[in-house]
Amino acid sequence: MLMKIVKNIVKYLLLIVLIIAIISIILLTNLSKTILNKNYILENFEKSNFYANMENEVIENFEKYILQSGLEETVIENIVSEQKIEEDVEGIINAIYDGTDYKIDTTTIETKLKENINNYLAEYKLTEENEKTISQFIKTIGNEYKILLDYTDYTSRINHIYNKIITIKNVIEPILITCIIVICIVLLIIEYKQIYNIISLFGIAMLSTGIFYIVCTYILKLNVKIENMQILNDSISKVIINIIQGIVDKINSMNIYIIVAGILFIIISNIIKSIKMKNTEDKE
Amino acid sequence: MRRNKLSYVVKATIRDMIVALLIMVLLIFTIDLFLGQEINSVFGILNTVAIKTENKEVVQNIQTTLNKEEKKIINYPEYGTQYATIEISKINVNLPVYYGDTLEILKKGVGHSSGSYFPGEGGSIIFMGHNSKNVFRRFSELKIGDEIKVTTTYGEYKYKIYDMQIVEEDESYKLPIKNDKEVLMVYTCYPFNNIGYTKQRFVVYSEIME
Repeated sequence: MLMKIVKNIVKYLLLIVLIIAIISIILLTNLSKTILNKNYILENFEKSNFYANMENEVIENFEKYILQSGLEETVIENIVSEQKIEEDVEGIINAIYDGTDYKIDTTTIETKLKENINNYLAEYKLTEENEKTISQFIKTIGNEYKILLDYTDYTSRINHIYNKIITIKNVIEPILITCIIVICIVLLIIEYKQIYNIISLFGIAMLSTGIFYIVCTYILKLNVKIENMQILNDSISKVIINIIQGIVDKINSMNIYIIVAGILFIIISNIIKSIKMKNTEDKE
Repeated sequence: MRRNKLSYVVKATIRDMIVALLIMVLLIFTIDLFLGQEINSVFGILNTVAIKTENKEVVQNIQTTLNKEEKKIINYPEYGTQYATIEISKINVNLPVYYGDTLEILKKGVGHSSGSYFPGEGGSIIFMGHNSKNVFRRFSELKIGDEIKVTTTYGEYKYKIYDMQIVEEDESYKLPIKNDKEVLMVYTCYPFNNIGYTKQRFVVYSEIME
């Protein structure tokens, strides 16, 4: 009797550890496929129409300076292209994920701007002060572009955090997998005479995991309005919202399979158990 | 016999599902116990960047009105929102007027200095706009006697220009805020076609027409 109680306690403790391990593996797997995956991030930039939106955002910010400068808005036309933004954003993403060094080059923007200003002011007789002001204006526009795209401090900080996460993940993942394997072996040893109990335990573990994630995503949606997030600017906010929604949607769709598999495992193990019980009764 | 088997399977399945639910509840309770504060901090940080729209909608539904007897606004417009349009037919100006005077507002249209009165309140009103082509570039064409019309969400007000001055940016006393007479002062940067930062302002003074 005491042995049976101890066996059940050990079984359920192992079950809880198994559930924690499965929850963690699922989370790590989802993060690896999404936010820790450079290609996923770049795909989201494309899907969110980030480059075109960012181009508009950049031009709108340039207009701030135009209105005060006395120059016409035509001087900032065509100085920035969607391609240039895409090139620079990819460079920054590579810097974050691969740790490469990337510096945004604003030479083309400044050259085009200078050309536009010179064309606009062709009929004016410019003083030395005017030339100085124009030079300062061009430098300001170049700098504004860099600030909008890079937020320099963030790139190196994010790369540092990313590297830390990858290191932790590379340590935890094998531990979790080993843990799951060891628990399976121990459960096999404990229940070698009644294998269907192991199927039932796995079913319970999967069902618990599925319900856990449903509750977590519900609590997240209740406490945070993900769709209203505003980080840095509208274009970046849209990408981040899509990434977070993508992670939540991936987990939710995986949950359906986990819950269904869990319930099936439980039903199958109970059917096997009922057949075994019937056979035992018949023998008696 | 079959019914017994089925009933056993159903009962055992429900039992196992309840066990799964209980384990999940225990897990969440344990996480809340040990990491509850940290999780709340994370939600707090996320909420600083996630704007709740419910409050915004409530504010936008409140109508700005004027108590004509007391000459006082009831429910001032929210800062940054459009509450009027300004028309100067002489120079083909028809622009939105926003409450506030930030750079963001001036990019969109005409700003209303938050330290001044509102049309209809009987005091000094200050509007400002850039000297760009789409805003107040043609201010130089205005003459004394020209009319300015301001259409607000609570009424229409007409003003007649009686004076125009070029003031230095630090001569704020030339745009006095008073409550004895309704005067609309509209200003823009001067000279109109200057390159770079301008230190002067072109101010148009107008008084309300009865």
